[in-house]
Amino acid sequence: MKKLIELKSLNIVFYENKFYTISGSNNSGKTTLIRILNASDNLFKAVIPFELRINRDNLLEELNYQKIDKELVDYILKGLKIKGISKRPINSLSKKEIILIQIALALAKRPKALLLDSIDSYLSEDEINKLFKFLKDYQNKYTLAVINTTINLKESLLTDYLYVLHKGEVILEGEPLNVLQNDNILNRIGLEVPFMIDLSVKLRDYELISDIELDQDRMVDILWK
Amino acid sequence: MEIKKNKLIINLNDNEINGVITDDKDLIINLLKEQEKVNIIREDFEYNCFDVTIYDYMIGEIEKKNLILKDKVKKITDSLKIVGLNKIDFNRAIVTLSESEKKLLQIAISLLSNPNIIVFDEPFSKLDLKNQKRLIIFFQMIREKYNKTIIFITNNSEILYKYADYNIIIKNNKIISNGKKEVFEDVELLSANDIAIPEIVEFTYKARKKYNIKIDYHNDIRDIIKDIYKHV
Repeated sequence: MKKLIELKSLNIVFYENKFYTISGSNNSGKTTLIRILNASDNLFKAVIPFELRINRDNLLEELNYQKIDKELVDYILKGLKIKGISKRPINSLSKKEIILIQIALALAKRPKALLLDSIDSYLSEDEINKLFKFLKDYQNKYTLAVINTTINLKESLLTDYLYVLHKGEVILEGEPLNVLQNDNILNRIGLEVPFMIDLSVKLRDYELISDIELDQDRMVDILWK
Repeated sequence: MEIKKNKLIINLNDNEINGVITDDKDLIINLLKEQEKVNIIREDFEYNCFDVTIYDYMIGEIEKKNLILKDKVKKITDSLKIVGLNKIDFNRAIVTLSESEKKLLQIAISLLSNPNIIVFDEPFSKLDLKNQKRLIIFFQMIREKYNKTIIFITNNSEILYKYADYNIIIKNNKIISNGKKEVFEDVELLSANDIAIPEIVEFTYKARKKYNIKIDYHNDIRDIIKDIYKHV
């Protein structure tokens, strides 16, 4: 795979078209990393909540002003389910809607990488799931690396690779399911292990199950069927 | 404490941590704003000037609210001390604070007017587990030591199940459930109303319903592990 960027001091490598999670406790360096990445390449587009630069009154006018291909505009608006709000003045939108507008504007630039900085503070779990599903569809259509920072480790299970930062350094990395089994390290640095992984790891320690199980119904069946 | 608006009557418990889940946050926050000696802490700390310092912002708040104080600096120092920010430099720009420090500063600012009720919109968003625990210890302290009534307005049922003393769920201007943590153990009611069910509750419910396993509802994973061990 073609290397997109390497930050040697952090030993982080991002590859094209992959979906990454960067997690870490408060002050671990997540936002700093996003800002460094954003500044490193014109075709890296960051969504930092409410840092929005816009020349027109609403999203649709802005996209027309920027001469974005109509087919791409339609695909993004439909995928993010924001057709209805695309004509509304930006200053009338809710926080969640502004974040979605920021994502639309970033994607319309056909970036090499989309950088999402803790946007989950403003979206529900269900909304994050739907957004990630759309971004994966976008990845299939266009080439895009997605780099999402969050405190919520559960989100990493929807992505390809997880880096865990602590005091500006990577302390864990790998496929999310493997990384999340390091419950002691994650708890020590102030991160919450997703419930089903925490439960699985502890039940496995008691030799009640043999593998990690993410589905509650299947876990209940394994234990009591 | 009773809050009324048309047919909606909300009873909150004084000197406790009250959790409110609602589909109309603004309505509830506006209702609470009408109460006496209440302070609302919004999810995001909005300060218009990029380089405003802690001191300038707090002085600005004292002036904006026309607070009559004998010694403004002492009041600021005391408020910061209560939230554990006594060692922080007054002249630091707010923008340089961490998320948890900003939350604590918001509380210190709210304490300037000595409110009886502190309403917190999404109190734990953007905070890691350590800072969540730090904040909850602080809330418990000000509830006990200073007799404050705390109200969390959040859609995060996991947090309320763990930390709130009393909970109210409001939908379409009606209270659909209220009580202690058992509010979150009525899985069928929560599901019917699209309220998120705490994962630990959902798992227990499934074990009880599908296999009639006599495990209890717990909010600590270590307790549920003990129960599972007994019943497997």
